[in-house]
Order: sequence, then C-alpha cells, then structure tokens
Amino acid sequence: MRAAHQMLFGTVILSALSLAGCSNDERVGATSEVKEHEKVIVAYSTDLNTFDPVFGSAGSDHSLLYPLYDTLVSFDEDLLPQPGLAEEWEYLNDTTLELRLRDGVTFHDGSVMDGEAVAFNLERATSEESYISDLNAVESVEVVNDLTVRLHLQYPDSSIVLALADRAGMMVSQEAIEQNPDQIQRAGVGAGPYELVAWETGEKLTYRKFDDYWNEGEPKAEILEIQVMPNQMTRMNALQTGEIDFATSLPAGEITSLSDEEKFTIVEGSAVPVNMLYLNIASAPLDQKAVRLALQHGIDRAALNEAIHYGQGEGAYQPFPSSYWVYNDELNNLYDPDYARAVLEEADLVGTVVTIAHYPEAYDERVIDILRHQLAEIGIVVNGQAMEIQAGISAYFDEKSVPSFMSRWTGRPDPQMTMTMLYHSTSYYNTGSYSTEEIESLLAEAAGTIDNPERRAEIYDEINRIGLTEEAIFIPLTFQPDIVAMSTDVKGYEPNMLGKPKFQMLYKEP
Amino acid sequence: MSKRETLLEINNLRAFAEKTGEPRSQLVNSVNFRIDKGEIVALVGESGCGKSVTALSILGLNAASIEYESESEIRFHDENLLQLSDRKLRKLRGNDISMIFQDPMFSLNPLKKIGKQMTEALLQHKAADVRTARQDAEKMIERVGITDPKRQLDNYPYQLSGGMRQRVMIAMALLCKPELLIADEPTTALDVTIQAQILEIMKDLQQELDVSILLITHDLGVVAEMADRVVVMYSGQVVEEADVYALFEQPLHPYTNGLLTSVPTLEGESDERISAIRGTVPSPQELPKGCNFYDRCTRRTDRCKKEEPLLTNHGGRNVACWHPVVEGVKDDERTAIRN
Amino acid sequence: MFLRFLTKRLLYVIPMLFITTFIVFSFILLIPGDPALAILGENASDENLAQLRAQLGLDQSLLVQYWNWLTSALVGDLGESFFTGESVQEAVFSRMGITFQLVTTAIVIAFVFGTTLAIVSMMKPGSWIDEFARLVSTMGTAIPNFLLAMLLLAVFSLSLGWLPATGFISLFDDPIGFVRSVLLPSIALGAVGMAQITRHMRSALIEVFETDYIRTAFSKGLSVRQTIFHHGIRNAILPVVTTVGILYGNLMGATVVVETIFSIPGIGQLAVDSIMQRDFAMLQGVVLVMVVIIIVINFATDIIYSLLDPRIKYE
Repeated sequence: MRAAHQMLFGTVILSALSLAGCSNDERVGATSEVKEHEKVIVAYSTDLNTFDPVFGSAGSDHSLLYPLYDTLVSFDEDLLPQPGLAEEWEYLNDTTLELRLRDGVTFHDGSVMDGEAVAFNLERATSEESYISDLNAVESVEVVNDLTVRLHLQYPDSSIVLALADRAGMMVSQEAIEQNPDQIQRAGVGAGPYELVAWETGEKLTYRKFDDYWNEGEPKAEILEIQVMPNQMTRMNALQTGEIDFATSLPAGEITSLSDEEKFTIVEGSAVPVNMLYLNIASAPLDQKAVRLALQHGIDRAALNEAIHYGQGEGAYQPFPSSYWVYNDELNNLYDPDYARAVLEEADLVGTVVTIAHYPEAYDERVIDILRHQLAEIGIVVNGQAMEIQAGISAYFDEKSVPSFMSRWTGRPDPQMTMTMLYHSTSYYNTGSYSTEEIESLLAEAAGTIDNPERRAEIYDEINRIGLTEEAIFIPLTFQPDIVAMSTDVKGYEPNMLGKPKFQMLYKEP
Repeated sequence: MSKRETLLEINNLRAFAEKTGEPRSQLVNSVNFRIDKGEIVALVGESGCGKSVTALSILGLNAASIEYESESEIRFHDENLLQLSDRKLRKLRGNDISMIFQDPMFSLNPLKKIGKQMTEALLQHKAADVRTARQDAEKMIERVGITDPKRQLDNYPYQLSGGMRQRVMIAMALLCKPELLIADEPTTALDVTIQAQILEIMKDLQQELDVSILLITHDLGVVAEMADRVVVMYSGQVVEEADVYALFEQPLHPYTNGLLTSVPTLEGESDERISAIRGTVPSPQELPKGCNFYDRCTRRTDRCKKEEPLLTNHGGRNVACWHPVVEGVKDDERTAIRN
Repeated sequence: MFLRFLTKRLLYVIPMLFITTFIVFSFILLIPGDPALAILGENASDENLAQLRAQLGLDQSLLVQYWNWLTSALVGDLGESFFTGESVQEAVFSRMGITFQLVTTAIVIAFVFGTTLAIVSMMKPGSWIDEFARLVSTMGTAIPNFLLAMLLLAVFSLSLGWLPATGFISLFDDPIGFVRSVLLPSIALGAVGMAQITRHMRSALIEVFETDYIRTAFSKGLSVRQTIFHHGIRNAILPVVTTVGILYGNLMGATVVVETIFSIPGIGQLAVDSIMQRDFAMLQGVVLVMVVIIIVINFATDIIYSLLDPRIKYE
C-alpha cells in the first residue's frame, strides 16, 4: 500500500518534471511544409467535447464539426435548405421523406457514403443513447437503393429537412464507428472537406484537406487550423499581430481598432441566437400574467440594444431577427411603459420583486442594470442573482429554484424547432410547462405544413402574437451582432443566419 | 612611567548625531588621549558614555548618521584617520588596526565557515594565497588555545561555544599582525571563568606580538588586570586619565572615586556598580552648561554649575574637575590640555 | 541522514495527499450544478440523467465515489474526462507542463530582477536605481497582472510587433520560440513577485547590514561591495527563498488570467473549464497534480534552505 503511494508520488513528480518533454507536435509536423497562403488560421471561442455528433449538446460545436462532416442537407445564408450529401429530397406523402443521395461520396477512411451509411447514421441519431431529439418524428429509415433513402415519420414534421442540416445530418463513417466507437469521440471520420489531423484539447484543432472530397476544387486551403481563444480581446490581438487570419465573435465596442486599417475586413451579420429572459410560469410571481406582461411591455429593447451593442445588434420582440424569413413585421415594438404600468396597477402588483438569475459576466451585469432601471419605472423590482453557467442552468432548469433566467436561445436551423422548444408545454426549455391549447394546435399545424413556407410563417406570426403579447411566455431582449474580422487576403467567408460559420469555405489568395 | 613612542593620538574628538526633527545628540565631547606602542589602554565608563563611539570612530565604523566636528583629529602614523579616504581607511582596517567586539555570538557570520572568515583579512591585505592564508589561520587559532585547528576551521560558528568564538575573533583580529587592537567589551558576554581565560590569552599575545590594545570596558576588575593606563569617560567626555596604579590608589575625579568605592553586588553586572552613584546621567541632547557630573557629584559648588571643567594636568595626571578628590595643585598651576 | 529526512517527508506527504484530495473531492461534489445536466443539456430527461449519472458513478455515495477514484489513482489511473473522454493524466500533465514552464520563467525573472534591484539599490542608496527599485516594488503590487498583461501586449505586440500576442511554444521544442512566447506573459505574471522579492530582499539586506558580523566584515577592511557579496546576499536571501516558495504556489493559482489573455493552454484554463463544466474527474486530477507540485516545491525550498544555512540540519 505504502509502496504504491510512493510509486504514484514518484511517477507524478517524474512526469511533472519531464512534462513538456513529450511534445504533441509530431503529427502537426506533417503539415509544416505547407505554404503560408495554403493555411488558414481561425480563432474561435470554444473547444468542443466530442467529435461524435450524436453525443454533444453545445451549439458552439457545429463550426468545429462542419469541416469534418458534410450534412445530408445544407443551408444558405438565409437558412433555407440547400443540397448537401442529398442532392434532392421529396415528400412522397405527409409522413414519407425521400432523400436522393449524391453519387461517389467517400468517407475519410475510404468507405462509401451510400444509403446504408445514411440509414446507419440516422438510426444511430434516433437511438436511445443519442442526445439528438430533432428526429423524434422518425419512425423508421428505409434503404431503397444505394442512393435512395426514405424516412418514415410517425407524424408530419416540417422541421425534418433542416434537422438534416444539423447534428442529425452529419454523416459519420460506419466502419470507423464499428471499429472503435470511442475513437470517434476524439477523432471523427466523416465525409467533409477536411480530415482531422490533431486535436489539442482546449488549444487548437488542425484539419487537413481531404483529397477525395466529392466537391471538386473544394476546399481551397490545404490546412485549416482552429485555435481556441475564449477571450474576445485575445482573438482581436492575435488577428492584429497576424498570428491568425480570421477571428470570430468580436466585441461590438472594440472593433474600431481593426476598422481603421486596410489590413482587415470586418463583416457584421445578423443571426438567430437571441438573448432572452426565460420565465418559469409555474413559479411565483411569474404565475401572474400581469407581471409577465409588464416585463414584456416594460422593456425598451431599442434603448437596451443601443446601450450594450452600440446599436450594432437588434432589439428583439420575437425570437426571430428582422432579416429572417419567418419574421413577423407587426411584432416590432411592444414597448409601452404606460400599458405595462396600468396592467400592474390593475392587478395591484406594483412593486413586485422578480428574481432573475444571470451569468456573472460584465455583459450580463450591464444588461441586468439596464433592466433594473427600466423596470423600476413601471413598478417592477429586479433582483439580479449572478450564477455561473452550470449553477444557473441547474437552478433554473433542474431545481427550478429561480423563477427567471437571463440566457440565450442559440437558435436552430428550422424555425419549427425553435417554436416548439420555446412554446410547447412538453419542451425542456418551457420550465413551467405552460402553454395554451391554441398555441399547441398551431404548432401541430405548422409541423404539418411541409410544403408551404408562407403559410408556416403566418402560423408562427400568430403563435408569437399570442405567446408574447397575450401570454408573455418568455421575454426576448436582443440579437447580438455577429461580428467577424479577417485579414484582407482571406476570401470565401459567407455569414449565415445560424451564427455558426462554416470555416471550410475560407482560403487565402496566393 | 617610561616614555614610549606614541601610536595613536585622539585630539579633541567631538561626535554628534542629528536626526531631522530631533535636537542634536552630542555623543562625544572633547575626548583627548593617546595610546603608546605596546601599551594597553583601558577606556572605562558606563554604557552610553561614548566609549564605543570613540572606539569605532578610530576605524570609521560608526553609523553614517554620526558626524564629527571639523577640529576633531585621530592621529595614526601622521595621518588623521577622520579625514582619510574610504579606500585608505579600508587598507588600515583589519591590517594595521583591527577590532574585536562584545558579543562573539553575533560577530561571526553564521553562514560561513570559520576558516573562510578568518582568512578574509589576510587575503584582502597581504596578497596571500588561500593555502598559506589557511596555514596562518591554523597557527593563529592554535595560539589562542583551540585544539584541532584544522577541523575547527571547517566548522561553522554555531558549532563553537561562546568562549571559543571569542578566541576565534581574537585570532582573526591578530592574524595580520596589527599595531593596534581595539577590543570593545571583549569579555562582557562571556561566563566569568571564560573571561579570565580570554584575558589571559589577550595579554599573552599582546606581549608576544607587541601590539597596543585599546580595551573598552566598564569592568574595573578587567581594567586592574589588563591595563597600563586608564581613560575614564563620563557623558561623552574624558574626565580622568591616569596610570593604572595611580588611579586605583587615588582617583582624582569624584566620578572615578564613586566607581571605585561603590560596593559591587555579588551577582551584579559591573554596570550596576556605577549606577550605584545616585542621580542620573544627563541626556546627550541637553547637556548642562557646567560640569556634566554636577547633578550626581558630592563635591559640587556653584562654579561647577556655571563653568565646564577642562581636562587639565594635575600632578602628572589629567583630570577634568574643579574640585578633585585630592586638592594637591592650585588652580593657577593647572595646565590646560585642551585648547 | 538525508535519506531519512526524505522518507519522513514522504510519509508526511501521504496523509496530506489523502486529506487534500478528499476535501477537494467533497467540495467538488458540493458545487451546485450537475455534470450530467451539463453534458445532456436540453436532452436531460429524468431517465437520461439517471442513466448518465450511473454511468459516471455520480449516483453512488461520496465515500464510494472517493474510494473508486482513489483506488484507480493509486495505480496511476486518474480516469477520463466526463466530457471529452480524454485521459485525465495526459491532459493534466501536458497542461501542467505549460504552466510550469510559464510560472518558472516568471519566478526566474522575478528573482533575478528583484534581487539585483535590491542589491544595487543597497550599494547605491539614494541613487536613481534605488528610487527605481522602490518604484518597481510599489508598482508591481499596485498594478493588477491583467492590466500589466494588456499594457505589455499593447506596446510590445500590437504597436511594436516584437513579440507574439498569443500562444505558447515549449522550451523543449524551440528554445527561442519559447522565450518569445513566454516573455510577456511571464513578466505580467512575475511582476508581483518581483516587487515582493525586491522589497523582501531590500529589507533583509538592511537588516543584515545592521548585524554585528557585517561590522566585523567592515573591520577587516572589506569594501561595501565585498561585504554585500561575501556576507550580505547569502544571509539576506534566506527569507527570500521562503518568499519564492510561497510565490510558486500563488502564481500557479494566478496563471489563469494571464493564460486567458495570451491564450496559453495551461493548467489554469483547464481548471476553470473543468469547474465551469463540472468535469469532476478532470478537476480532481488538476487539484491532485497541483497539490503534488506545491508539495514538491515546498520540499525543494527546504532543501535549498538547508544548503544555504548550515544551521539547519535534517534529522
């Protein structure tokens, strides 16, 4: 026993002393002969936990997964579906979706991406162990032939197509999974434009161009390196010194130091992630509709956006930004302090204290301060409660010990997913499990509206009108501006509304 | 008293310390005496009387905050040590004049081997190589009665007793064969039995090497045993200077008289003997106009209060008093030593 | 004799490791927030949660969980990250290697400059360098390290372009690259230490200069410089050794801010990430290795102390 202790102790010391002796750069060494212009270095805010798309839940993972995994369906910058590994699709009836696959696609390990592979992946995504819930409607997957697959649904679901542009549509090599399912977690094998060369957790990910990529001429860069830099100022500094080529999510107030120079291109986009107050409607005092309505109508989003984003973002009175195809033009300003105050007075609830859990970040503290100030005007006392991220999630979603939580809805490729998750009484995000029959029947109708986007948008307009102006089920606040910057020789960037950039399109001009 | 060649002469030494916001402290005021070659002079007085400041001023080792009046002079080989450049003074220190201190516990660097510390002065002054310096050191500590010198040189101070350390200090001080050794209370911190041994060693080596010693002490027993001549200081001044026999036989200054006649307590420090004289020493920040001893004197008169007595020749001895214990000489016969 | 001391120290380390790991283990489990919930996110149905908790061993009692961890740790297996599945010891050691290099460089800079400033200011009291030393020791403690980091960055990376703004290169891969990458962060990190060392060394030197043995040294005819070098430094450096030992621990814990600003993937980042994600397995590994490192450093401090001061003997 004692000997074992000392052995451990000895090992630990020895390893500690020789620590950095073992370099992890050997694999990267293979990429060092690449010319400078053939390598694109991106600074990104977060690392991922696993390369297995079915075992992950963070919205920030996608940008790191996309280079490796092509999805069955792709999307354009307006979040409308585009061909991916499936060249086309068709609803044979309300509950049967047929996918016609691209010919001649192989995975990084050389295995063929065919109907069998798709079925395997979709079944895996809908299995018990999978974290993916987007395909709950799928009952079975039928392989018609090598290049045709049919999804049989239990009920119509208009979000299925774009769900195949998300995690569920990321195709992983069946061979690789069957060989070693754990290995996929650390080194994914997909059919995307890049192969993973090295993953130095928390530090950087190195991808090398996949030579047999189906799309001839893509990707244009030889090496894609994504460095993990959680601090936005650090990302900006690194770009300024030329250590990286491309920086994501930069702070609105600070980018002026880059915009002065001809060396950098700044692109501002708008995206679906929305900052909002989650409300637990089963919990006092938010079980009082008057309090919720006062919150909804008592916050001046334009002023809020001006104060925290220097006007570069957008005030939110609904979960969709104005450039999105389902945006409701009429829900553009709910701010009405007189009405808010009147509602409170009528219910005799002036002076109600609302506790809001929020992250202990400077940004969030600022927002809470502004809310406290604005809501004090109409008679609501805001009690901000700073909680770091996991504690906040636990307290609000799990223990339900705080009635309100200021956080972010990261958005989904299809608006149906967003609407269901925010409004449906069975949704995890609807902590109070509160909805109305009308809303739920509208949601079901939208799910069944598979071939008529205009009609779908109308239904969402109606749900948002009821859910926000009448029921105030949640309180949207702002859309953060999505600001990226790159050195001017970097080409190919296209922002998308999902706010999850696809780095594989970046390249440098020689 | 045979006439010998003068080695060191202190003339009119006045030292003071001044701190901003505080009145000037007159630490030494009018000190005059000389040391002859081969002579042991004892500098006696209670703590704070200025005897240590006097001793340290010879080597320029007083704190930087202590300054000297411009007329002060310490003559050594035709040079005024107080005016000497730092470089020249350093050549003197440990070479021509060396010093040992009161507390052997702290006088040696605890982190250095005895041998290293001993040879430092030799290597500094005598251009000796390390090996011969070490041999010299071995011989010297053998002479101060340390057995197994080779091994002891490799020891650290903490491995030696207090008496041994003082022997090391003595050996170290004498290693460069200086002309003058200043011993500042060399036995005060030691046990009585050890004291005698150390004094014995000092006396032996003094004769062997013909070195002069300035022995600073407040212990009259030590004075009687060691000194040829005694200089008594009180409150920054020399009040009496005499041959050791003459002094013990008949002190002239009432202070000296007080010292000799007070009864020593059995276990007491000799300091207590002096303080047995009633009254307190005046503060160096506010010395009286007249005699500094006035407050405590049994023989005081109005004159003592108004006029400061100067050190004057009094039948072959020097005393600074208007009313010496033996009134052998009339006032007008006195010759002022101080000008 | 030394071996006996070593054994004794090791025997003393063992219960300390037990206690610290157990305390940390219990504290970790007390942090609000459930790793299973963090992993599952919106898919956190009660069923899924229970299943995952069982899979991670979180459904068992604290003692059982600790025992399981301990028995694996004793055979050198610190487990796998709850999230990424990577080996905890691999992750922790590679991150610790980076932080260790960073902190050591910071300490070396702090020590060399701190002691030099103190010594020079002692040799030339009242000179500009003395004033400078005083300024450094005040500024070093007054300026928070993140501010200094940003200042250094703005000047030496962004304006002058002399040094990189981010990243870390290991000493063993590329010594020059290492120096370039580590210089700014280690100065930012070490400034506090430099201030402390300057101050401690200065006051220690002043104290030493009031001792009798310094007077003895002067009485032998040594110059101020000789006295400082032969008798002052070694004696004055003793308290500084203690400062450095403590500083090591402090800086190990303080690297996270500097690591974030310079994007250095060190142990501080890993610790914060593990806490944020409730990656208990990883966090426990981080803490264990931190504790071991601190113990090793204390141990090294003691040995250096004994080398400098012959009075201290290990028996």
